[in-house]
Amino acid sequence: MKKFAVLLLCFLVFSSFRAKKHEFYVSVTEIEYKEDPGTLQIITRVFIDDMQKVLNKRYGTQLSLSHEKEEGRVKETIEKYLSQKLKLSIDGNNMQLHYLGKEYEEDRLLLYIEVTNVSSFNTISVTNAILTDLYREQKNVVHVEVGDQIKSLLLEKDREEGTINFHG
Amino acid sequence: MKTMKLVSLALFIFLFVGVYAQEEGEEAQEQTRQEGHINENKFRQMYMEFATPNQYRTASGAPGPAYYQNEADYKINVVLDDENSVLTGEETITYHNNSPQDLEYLWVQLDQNIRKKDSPSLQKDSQGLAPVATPARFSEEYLQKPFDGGFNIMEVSKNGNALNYTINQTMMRVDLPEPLKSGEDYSFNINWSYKINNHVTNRARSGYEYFPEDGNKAYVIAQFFPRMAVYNDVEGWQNMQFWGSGEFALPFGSYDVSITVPADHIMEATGSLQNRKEVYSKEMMGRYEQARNSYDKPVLIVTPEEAEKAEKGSSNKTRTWHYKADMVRDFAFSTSRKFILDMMATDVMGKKVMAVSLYPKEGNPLWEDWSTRVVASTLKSYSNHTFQYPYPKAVSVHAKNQGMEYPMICWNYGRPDENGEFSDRVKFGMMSVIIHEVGHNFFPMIVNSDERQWGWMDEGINTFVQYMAEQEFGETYPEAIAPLESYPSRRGQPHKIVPYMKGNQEFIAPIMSNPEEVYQLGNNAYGKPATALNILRETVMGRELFDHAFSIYSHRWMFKHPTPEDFFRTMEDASATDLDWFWRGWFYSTDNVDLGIQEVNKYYITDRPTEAGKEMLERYYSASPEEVEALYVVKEEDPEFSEELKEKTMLESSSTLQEFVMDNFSEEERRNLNAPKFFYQVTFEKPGGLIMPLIVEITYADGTSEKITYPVQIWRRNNNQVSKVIPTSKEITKIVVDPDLETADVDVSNNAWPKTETKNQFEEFKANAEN
Repeated sequence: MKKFAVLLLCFLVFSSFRAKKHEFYVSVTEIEYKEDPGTLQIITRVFIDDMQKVLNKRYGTQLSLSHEKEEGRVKETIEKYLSQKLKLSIDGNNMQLHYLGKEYEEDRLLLYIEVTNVSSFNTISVTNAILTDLYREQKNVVHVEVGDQIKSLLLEKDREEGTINFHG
Repeated sequence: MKTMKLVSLALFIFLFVGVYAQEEGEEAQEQTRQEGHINENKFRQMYMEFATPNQYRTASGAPGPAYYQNEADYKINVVLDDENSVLTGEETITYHNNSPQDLEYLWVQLDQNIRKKDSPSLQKDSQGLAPVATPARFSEEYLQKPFDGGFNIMEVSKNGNALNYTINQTMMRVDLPEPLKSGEDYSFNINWSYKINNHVTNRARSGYEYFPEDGNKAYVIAQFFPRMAVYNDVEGWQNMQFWGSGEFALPFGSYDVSITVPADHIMEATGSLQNRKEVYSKEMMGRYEQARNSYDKPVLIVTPEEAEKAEKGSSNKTRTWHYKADMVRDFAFSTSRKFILDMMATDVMGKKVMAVSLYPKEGNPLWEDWSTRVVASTLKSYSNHTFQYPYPKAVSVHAKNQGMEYPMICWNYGRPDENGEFSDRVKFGMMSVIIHEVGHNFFPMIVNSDERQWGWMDEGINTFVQYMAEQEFGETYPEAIAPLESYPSRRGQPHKIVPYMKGNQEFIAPIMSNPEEVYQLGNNAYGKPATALNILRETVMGRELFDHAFSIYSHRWMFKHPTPEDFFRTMEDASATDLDWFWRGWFYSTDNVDLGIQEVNKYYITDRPTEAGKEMLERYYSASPEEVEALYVVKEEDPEFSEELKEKTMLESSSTLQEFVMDNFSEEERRNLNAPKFFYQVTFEKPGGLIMPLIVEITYADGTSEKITYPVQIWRRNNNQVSKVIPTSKEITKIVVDPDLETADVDVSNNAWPKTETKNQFEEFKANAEN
């Protein structure tokens, strides 16, 4: 955990210098563990235009994502992308992610994902490569909340996976 | 027979719970000796944190009788070598020592030195080797040599005689042969050159963008000359090094600047252009005169066609543009043969100000439609909230990825794609950054705070005014935001700061931190202070008190150098609102707001003695119920409760109260007495560290509701929980704390009674999706 703390710290300081007035290329994923009924509630926030761009580029689609109008097989395509880019394992076991849907919030897209049948755990590993195929500079911040504890990961192109230890 | 005043007894009974709780505490005290403590009350005044008021800066937050500020006047000549991207310059600085001290040396800022290839700032961050890396990144980090920038100082002299100087990173100490006496001036010369960086590949607040399609560069040039540091009563010389995040501290002065560039360049800069007829064509002059009287739409001074024609050529001749500016703290300019230029006159509180935009064709179609209009709207909004904009113009320059402010001119991002299409994110990003950077003219260009030390004083205050200006822009130009009904501000509204404030404390710093030391500069220096000020205006002080105090602060420190205390003190001094608790919580700590309802109990009044009542009378007055006239309260759960209490009015339930009323009030007075039937005792809890006013919405059985705001002082004796009694003639069905989400409450699951099954955002979404 120490290593990631240092890593996140240097990213945050560094990025504030590089991207002075605007946070470019950052997604934030919040993972909250609910002991009862044993689920991980996941909300991933990405910029709408980035998501549209990466899906169309990657899959050659003509999707249009916006509050007002939506065109194309949006749900299926997002589901497919997430299944390739976001992975979780709990105490070493790969978990099945269920994409529930999305919501628009100003210029951001909120992706709702759920993992069920999760009993209390010690370590969680997250692979988050969302948008790193579009932007080399993409940073993916992951916060994991278990009870009163929040621990964070900073993932990017060369460091797509990170592990957090709880209870220890 | 002992007789007691019934009214005092009634009061006594209502205080019962509180007294009883204290009593228990006292009993516990007898058993173990408790440690003492210093004043930890959230309302204690900020004497320990604030600098002691003095003759320079007073306790009222205004400049004191001995307040002074030194000034620096510049006469600068620079020449741009476009082909090699090198800027060469000479300047005469005249420094005015208005301080009461003699100065043995002067400190001059060499900001470009942050781009020297051996700059310590390149090594300021921790590194780690990743197990696997892309060749591009690996090459950038370990193979490529860093950019070889920084000032090449060729001469520092006075009347042709060299002066001794010492360079320490980004600061140069110029040693004076004789100390510069208080009240005297000193003029000296510096000659220099530096290699200009590509700001797109080498992110920085100035530089050039290269356009490979036509081979041209667009320059946005700043920190291009050695600049005087600030000397004042707070820091002495503010010569903290420039490490990259903490921006600038600069004295005011007059500038006389001549800039020589290729003859086919179009330029904008800080200050008034002195030789417009020499550098503008006849057509441009005619259009300029037209623009000076066009208040409703921008007039193109250089058209897209002219700019596209110019970018195909490359002049060998040069042309010198001459600008002058008074009472500015800095100077910047932008130049390229690619530039389109438009202008529009704006009436700012009765004064004509030119709103100007400078952009390459790559900025269209967005820039021609909106940049100048956004500039004009911003000047009006900000002037209304602070003071009349004092400069003759404000320029918005389009530069990729840039968002950076200088006096009268700023660089802004927001570029359509190759097909001329743009998303809402690009459009609103562009509008917001223009509002923000033009707004910086007010903070810190005129209200000249020390950015090197306090990022929030300009960024936070500016982002707060930006929020109001964005909303006002949306009202002025509904077509710009359609189909939205209000401008989609990214920062300012309380609920938007919640994810940051409830986040991982390891990566949160108080607002009162240096920009170099914080983890999330965007939230730390921009988002949180802007939200705090918005909450202060809307919820804590109210608009009338806040706006007056804020205007006083702006006027007091216009063209001066305020500190955080000057702001905090003025806001209190001009409003008679003690805000030390607010500054301490929001600005000096990382605490967050979490208010809630712990429990609600419903009471009835009776004259039948209750067990609890009897015990209390015995304990405090050694009296029995027969000896005193008293009334008693019962909860529905109490054994003394009977259903008939629900039906009766309070006076019917208590003959002692009825008799008291008959004896003490006339018939007319009796008609005006309240007649509550129910008494609700509501216990509020505060798991969060921040104190805030308690905003409570009460809904009654008949469907009506009312909002009560208990002042923040309710927390002054108990920081964890407080109780209020709500007497009412109607049954209460629902109580909600902070119903309109005004306080940035980080956990609203405890905000309602009866406790509703509160869903978090995820559960809310899931439930809606399933329906």
